[in-house]
This record gives sequence, C-alpha cells and structure tokens, in this order.
Amino acid sequence: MQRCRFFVRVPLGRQLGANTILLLTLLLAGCVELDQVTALAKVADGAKTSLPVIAADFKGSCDRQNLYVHLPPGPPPVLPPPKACVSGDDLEKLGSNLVVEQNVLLDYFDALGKLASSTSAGFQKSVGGLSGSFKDAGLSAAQQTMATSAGSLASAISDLALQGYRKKKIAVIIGKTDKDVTILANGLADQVAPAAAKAPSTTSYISLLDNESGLIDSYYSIPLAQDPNSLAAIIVNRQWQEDVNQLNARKDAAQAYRKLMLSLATAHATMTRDAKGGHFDIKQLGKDLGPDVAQMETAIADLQKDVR
Amino acid sequence: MPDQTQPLTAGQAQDLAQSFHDIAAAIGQYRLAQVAVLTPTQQYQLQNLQLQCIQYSNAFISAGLFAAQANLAATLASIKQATMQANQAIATINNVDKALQIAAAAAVLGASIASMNPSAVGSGLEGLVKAIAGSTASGNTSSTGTPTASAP
Repeated sequence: MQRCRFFVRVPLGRQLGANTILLLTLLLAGCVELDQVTALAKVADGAKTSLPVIAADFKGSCDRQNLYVHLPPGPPPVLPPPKACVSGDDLEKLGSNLVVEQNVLLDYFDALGKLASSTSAGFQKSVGGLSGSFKDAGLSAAQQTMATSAGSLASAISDLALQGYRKKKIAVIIGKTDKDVTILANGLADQVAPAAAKAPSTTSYISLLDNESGLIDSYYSIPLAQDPNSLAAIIVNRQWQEDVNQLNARKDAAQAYRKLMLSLATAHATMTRDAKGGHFDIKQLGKDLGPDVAQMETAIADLQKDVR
Repeated sequence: MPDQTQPLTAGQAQDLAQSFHDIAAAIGQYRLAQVAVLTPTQQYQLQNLQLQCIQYSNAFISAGLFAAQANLAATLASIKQATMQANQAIATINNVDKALQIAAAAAVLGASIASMNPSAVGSGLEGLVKAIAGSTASGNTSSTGTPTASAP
C-alpha cells in the first residue's frame, strides 16, 4: 500500500512521459491485485477464533448428551442407566483433525495474503499433525481425501516459504492448489453441516446435534407429560425452551461454518478463473471477488453470534 | 480384528447413524405416547434401550469401518430395512412387552455392528427381524394415543 500512495501523490500537473505512465499504470494495477488477495486473507483470518469452537464441540455434544439421562425413582438400581455417548475420545480426535485441517487451509490463505501484501514479511508455517490413533481406527474415505489435500496444501505453504515466491507467482500458485483447496473446504463444510438437511450424505456435527435434540425432547417431555399442570412444569418448560434455543444456535453456527468454507472455496476458484497466463485479470478479479468476501464476512458474523 | 473389517463410505456410516437415531427417536415417542400406561420399571428399561441406540448412532458418526461382509451393501440395506420396519412396529404397537422386545433386539443389533464381529452382525439382524415378525404375527398392533406433551 505504501508504494501505491507514493505514485498516487505525484502532482497532477507534472508532465509524465509515456514510459512513466505505463509504469504507474502497471504498479497501480498491481496494487489492485494485491489488495484483493490480501483482503480475502484478512477475512479468512478473522474466522480463526470461531472455527476451533465448533470442532471442539464434537466432544462437547457427546458430553451434553450424557446429561440428559433420568435416574429412576427410588433406591439406585444395580446397574446405572447407560451413557448416551461413549464415543467422546473418537469424536475429540475427529474434532482435532478438523482443527488441523482447517488451520492448514487458513494458513494457506494467510500465506497468500502475506505474499500479496506490499510489506510481505515472512510467514510462519505451523502445521500440526493429524491424529495417528484416529487414523489407525479408520478414517472414512472422505476424511482420508481431506487429509491428503491438507498435506498437499501444507507442502505448498512450505514451498512458498522456501522458494521465496514473489507476487507475480501468486497466480501460478493459486492455479496449482485450487483442487486441494476445493476438496478441503468442501470436506470441512460437509463434516460440520452437510448440504441436504433432510437426507445428509455424510456423518457430521449436525448428526450429533440431531441425537442431542432427540435426547432433550425425551428428557423434558416425558416428566412433563406425567405432571403437566404443576408450577414446576412451567419452570421446566422454560428450561426446555432454553436448551432448544442453545441447540438451534449451534445448528445455525454449523450452517454459518458451511457457508464460510464454501465461500473460501468459491473465492479461490474465482481467483483461479481470473488468473490467465499466470497473471490476474485484475479488473475482473476486483469485480468477482467482492461478493465472495462479503459472503464470508456475513458467515463469520453469524458464526460469532451463534457459536458458544 | 483389523483383518476382518472393511471401510465404510461416509454415506454408509451416515445411514447407520441415522437408522439408530431413528429407532431411538421411535422409542422416545413410544415412551411419551404410553406415559400413562408404562410402569416406572418399563420407562426405565425403555430409556436404557433408547440411550443404547443413541450410543450406537453416536459411535457410527465417527466410524470408518464395518465388520467384513461378503456383500457389505446388501448387509447395510438389510439393516436399513429392518430398522425402518422396527420404527413402524414401535409406532403402532400396543403391547409393551412386544415393544420392549423390538427395542431390545434393535439395541443388540447395534452392539453386534459395533463389535466388528462378522458373524455377530448376521445374528443381530436375524434377532430384530424375528422380534418384528413376532409383534405383527400376534396381531397386537394398533394406533396409540397422541403425545401428551409437545416440543417447545
């Protein structure tokens, strides 16, 4: 941005030669390019604080489900009721893997943004490991594909750092990584909230919330049906409503997460499309990327509102 | 027994998780619809079976493997069909003992799948099919009362 300001401040009355005008045009055009990529990276970076909360809630939902268990009246039975969820360890590993994968994706956008910035300092690459124990237990085919793409993107980030790519190379890098970005962003979106709510095609965080929903309903509705007219029933009804509201907020946050991931994939595909012959079609990029960035900002605002 | 397992697709794992979610929901609805009829012990037993079915649904959400089968797709289709029939039977049955038998058979099927034992899956499936057949053969099904409490 500093260099942009320098050239913009050239006195208008000054006579400029044709070569100077051409140089000025190219640099200004270059700044438009850098701004768009940097802005996208900044928006993606804004999501970092909210995203791990959802991944951690895979186990959180499991723990909450175990709270919705009634003990029978009278003395404790020989055997206590079973837990509703005993998969906490696996779900925690699943959530941890998602955090690693989404961080690789966001680090990649961060790296692009830093390279695109006129003050491109070096960037830190911190790629955590995927849980080996979970992998041994059997990642689904979709999860294995995501892990492979995360590895490829992590490798791209390393290449960016080691080979000292410059701004003019960004278009080339984006073209090479678009497939992995698409796989990873779509995979993360599906693991949290699959596309079709009525007939989802993959297991997800939403599936866990659906199980939680069923337990909440039984937990409250059955005692209320046994004693519908007491004062206590009024309080219990309010608590039921509060639990349902919290659950719905989590579902909304999951949908916002999906929108954010899909917007990232779309924005990257837009950049790939607008990069022709290894260079950006700058005017087109500026026009095309705006809606994607706006949608990401909306999704992040929704996430931050609903995630808890 | 890693050599006796095979990978599930995400869609297959979701179908399994959904089947056991649906059975748990059917048991919950039955507990609510029959709230005036069920004894505390029966409520407790049905709650336990509902919780077991949810437990298996949660387990299948994070599952990537299934016990080795000659034809996995056919086995999964049979499980889906049997659990759907179990849901229908529980929704219409009037005999609490029969409802308990179907719910228990569904929970056993879930346990057999989770065990990753190839032969256990077949017997678990057979047990559920028999329990459903037993409930319909007795002709003891009818529509139950409407729920006495509704969700907020």
